Amino acid sequence: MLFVREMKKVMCSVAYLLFVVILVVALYSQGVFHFGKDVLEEPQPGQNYGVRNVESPEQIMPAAYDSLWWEFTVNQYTTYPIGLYKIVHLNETEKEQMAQILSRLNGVDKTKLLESPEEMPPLREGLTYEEFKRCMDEADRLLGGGSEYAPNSLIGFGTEDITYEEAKVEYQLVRDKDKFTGGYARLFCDYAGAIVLSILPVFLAIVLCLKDRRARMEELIYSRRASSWKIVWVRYAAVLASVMLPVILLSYYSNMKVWGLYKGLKLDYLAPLKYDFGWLLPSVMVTAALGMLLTELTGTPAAAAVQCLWWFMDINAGYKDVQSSYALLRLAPRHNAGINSRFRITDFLGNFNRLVQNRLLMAGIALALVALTVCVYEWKRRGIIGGRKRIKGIFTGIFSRKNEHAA
Amino acid sequence: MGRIGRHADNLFDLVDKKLKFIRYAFYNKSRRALYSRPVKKERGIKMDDSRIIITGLSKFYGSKQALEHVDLVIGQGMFGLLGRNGAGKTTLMKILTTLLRKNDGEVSICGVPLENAKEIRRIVGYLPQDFSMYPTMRVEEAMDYLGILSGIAPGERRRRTEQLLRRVNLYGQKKEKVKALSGGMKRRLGIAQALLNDPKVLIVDEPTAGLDPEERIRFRNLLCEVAEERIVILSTHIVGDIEATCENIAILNEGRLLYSGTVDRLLGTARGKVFTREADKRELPRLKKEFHITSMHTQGNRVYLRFLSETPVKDARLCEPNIEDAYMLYLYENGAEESDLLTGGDL
Repeated sequence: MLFVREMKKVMCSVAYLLFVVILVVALYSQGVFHFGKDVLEEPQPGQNYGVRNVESPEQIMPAAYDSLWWEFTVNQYTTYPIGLYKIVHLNETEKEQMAQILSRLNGVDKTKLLESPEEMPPLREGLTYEEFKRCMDEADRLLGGGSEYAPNSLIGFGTEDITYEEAKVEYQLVRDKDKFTGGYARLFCDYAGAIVLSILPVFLAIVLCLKDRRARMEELIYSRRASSWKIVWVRYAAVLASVMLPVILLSYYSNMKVWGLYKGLKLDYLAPLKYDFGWLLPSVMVTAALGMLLTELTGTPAAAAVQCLWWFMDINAGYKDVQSSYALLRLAPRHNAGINSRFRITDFLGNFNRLVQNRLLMAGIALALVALTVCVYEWKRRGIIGGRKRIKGIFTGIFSRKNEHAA
Repeated sequence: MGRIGRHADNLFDLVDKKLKFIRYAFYNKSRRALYSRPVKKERGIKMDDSRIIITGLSKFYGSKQALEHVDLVIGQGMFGLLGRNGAGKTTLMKILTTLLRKNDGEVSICGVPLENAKEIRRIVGYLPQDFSMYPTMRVEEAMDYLGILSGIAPGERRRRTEQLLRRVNLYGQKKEKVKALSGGMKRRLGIAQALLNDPKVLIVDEPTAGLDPEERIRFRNLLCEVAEERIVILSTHIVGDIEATCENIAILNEGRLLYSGTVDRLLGTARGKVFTREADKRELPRLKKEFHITSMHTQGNRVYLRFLSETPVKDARLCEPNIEDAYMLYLYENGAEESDLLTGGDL
């Protein structure tokens, strides 16, 4: 059977062995196999139930202003423009611009702010939250983006205690909707999806597609009776199955560790499977599909660079707020933002439709990419396009034109 | 001035090539208008035909023409396709195996038009020039994998694999990994895989290159055996392979078909034009200028030459031509330079 043969080709490769090792190590490092420590107990009155972020202008305005003022005085701003830690120092002109922004916040003349920055003036009377947010947005853009003053990051300055009633509702939802195991399965998906499964499957797809070229088997396979449709789809299915097999096993290994903690309570034993297929599979699908398409098209591992870029942008697209965690174009939806509320059942249920839309969209994109791969494979098979040589020719053409211009 | 002249020549060459391309484009258009499907019947292409019929086949790589209006009919048995490197043999083979698209012309294999790629792939077996398989697969696994891709049922696959491995004398190596096989064994495995789907046509491209004499002979015999029940096209630049196996041949040169017919007829064209002569070594430069030498060997100060000449030569003995002589004669008569043959040929 072709599927078994293709799966064997994937699973017997060094790349696959590395994939499994990285998967296990990455998940272990995030504590995914030790969820046993996080037992959700029924809240009792008088306990501390943790805090959560809240968009409270009364808290956010003074706290964010205080932080910006302090950074202004030392001219050292912390940002994460593309997810990487960066210290920003403003030049004289930019410092003046920042002083102008602060002046709009506290009503003090900007020259005075530049001369004696040690004393922090209070916020201007009558400053509205909308105006404050606009100023903070300008400050963020002046810093190059990625600061905690960005509109969707300001919420980090506002927190409030979770009440007993809220904690009880959360517990009841986890008990009734998640049946406990669902919450842990979501946590597993958050780590597995973001760290491993939205990047590594691309390498397996590349290895499988390049195997024919390396073994000089292309012509031998092209001249066979099997349709391009069958070859490409079976290979795609083989990559997906090879990836999902250890994922399912590990998700159960992680989930089973908490089964004993909720004795006498009703658990959903199929939760890991549901989440693996509903949450993780679309990410794997789109990653593998992109890998196959670009590898067949170019005959090179260029897909790795493209996927790395996409993954990097996605992982840094933010996960602190609910909006970006479940954004429609999210490659790997995030789920670990809540403070002391790891299960985030209310966020999850509130955004379930968006999550479903996102997952369906990713699966749809993946299927479209595979269909396109079938076309590319058939064109190569009939000698209509020449794969690597053609792409190489295009790049050579571009560079030679550049050189001509340079000359 | 010389440099300007060279540039001008290059420019003219380029323009000429472009014009040739445009001319062909117009030619193709008018041909397509003339030869619609009903005309195909008039040419005698029937679905039960057991021949390969190639009519007006042309192939361009950009503006470079690899095949130029090739007309060829190939019947059952061994058929040799002879030509220098770059003559267009591999291009023709790849077109016949649907790996390359033709620009013009019509091709039918056993009555099936080339456009029906799926059916063509069912009836054609192919051993590519640089044959290789996944190195870590075992021999029987590799056969099974290719059998699956050929759409052969599991039971039939096992039976054919065993039968073919025995036939190519590789049954003892069925559990070995492909990377452990010698060059000759790999080629025999290549033949076995090409025969898996019991094809009506077997196409082998340069199969003996790099083999030692013993393996080469064994391989030729194997080809002759399988050709008893099907069309086998052997593409090669090694004349010895053709001489030992084929009754019918075609000669390709720079994309054009120079000759198509029996080996005997080819030899007939060279009859009376091949001579041998013994000469002093010092005469060699003069003789090289005077005649097309096809082979020579030296013994001390003496040199024994075999050469081509249209007219009888003094002190030279007329001898029976072989395919190599006839092939060289065809190339010379069609404008190939001796220097080209010495560098490009591999005879």
